[in-house]
Amino acid sequence: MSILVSDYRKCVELSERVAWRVEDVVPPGSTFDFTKPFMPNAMFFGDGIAFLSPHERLRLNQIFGNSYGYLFYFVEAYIIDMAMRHATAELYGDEHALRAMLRFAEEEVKHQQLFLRFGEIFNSQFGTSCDLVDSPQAVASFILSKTPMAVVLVTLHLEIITQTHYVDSMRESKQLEPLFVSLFRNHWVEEAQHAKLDALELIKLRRDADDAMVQRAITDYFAIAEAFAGLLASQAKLDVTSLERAVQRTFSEEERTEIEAAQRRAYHRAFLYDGVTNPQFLEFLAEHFPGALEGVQAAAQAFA
Amino acid sequence: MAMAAEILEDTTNVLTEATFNRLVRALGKGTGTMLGHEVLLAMGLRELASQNDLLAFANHLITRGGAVESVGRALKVSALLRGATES
Repeated sequence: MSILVSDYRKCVELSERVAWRVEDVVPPGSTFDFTKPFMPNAMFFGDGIAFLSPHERLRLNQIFGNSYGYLFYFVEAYIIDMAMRHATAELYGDEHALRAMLRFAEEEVKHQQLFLRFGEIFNSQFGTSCDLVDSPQAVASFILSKTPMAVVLVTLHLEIITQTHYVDSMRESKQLEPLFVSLFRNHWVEEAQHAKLDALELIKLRRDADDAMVQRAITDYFAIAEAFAGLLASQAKLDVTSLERAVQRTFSEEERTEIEAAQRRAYHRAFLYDGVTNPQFLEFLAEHFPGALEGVQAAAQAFA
Repeated sequence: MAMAAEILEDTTNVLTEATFNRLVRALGKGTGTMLGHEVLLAMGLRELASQNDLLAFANHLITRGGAVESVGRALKVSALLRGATES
């Protein structure tokens, strides 16, 4: 049975059991150990860049970790809006759904605060500034302009990858920076409930939708994924400049291209490929959106 | 009055029933049901047959203010999430 099978009441119960406070995860005075990598080997491709020294690869890995956390802050801007809309739709309706969706929204605001706190600590201790893509509001507006089913489908995709990354690559890795891993462990336990809520909301919307609406949702889902790929490519480019600043070295054009390509591949695999190849996501699509399966195969090839 | 009575008996589809249930939860059985029928009557409908009908119904409620407006806003979001479009 899929891990996405649940009901609203159970999601609230589980959410209450695993809830945490930002102050407990990142207490005042928290520090990162910059002698350790942040991102797991399986997700980072900088180790294959021959002209970088071990220290430079470590710095690139940490820059990737900072951007990775920031990108979750970034996408949560639209997820909060989405969860609030779905909560509003349940006012005077199903009180379990209302409570679950309000809790979902509240937890996403908390996650944003967590990632902001993470960014503050990183910036104060890394030594040099790191560039990050801007305008989360503009991206949120673009995503929210698409059909509601597509918006929830993208959210399910993103919430499933947080589980994949933590469980498959971070949890057992002893050499990673411990506070960074702890931050994503806490993020994962709450996102696991959110993924179930996304599935419940999608099933509800799908039940009332005709074939044309479902097809439009699938088209919109891929349009959002494509736009997100462009955003991730921009972040990869920014990482090269951040690395130059961090290691006080100017790279040649060929070197810049190679670093940018490694980072772009890492972002595309983390945020896109890992979603469109996830067995749970594919199982959900096969049952409720079978028309999307051909497209996800093509996306998997494009973002491998 | 005859038409209102007919509507009372005929409002049995799932969407109409769910919408009336919201009004009843927010306003009580008597007021909620009466208001629901009153708005349907004003729209010239026997029942809500589509999400666009629900959106129009919700927009009627929103003009009333207070708790009725609150139900209207919830129903409006519900209709928009399910593909209703403002004409």
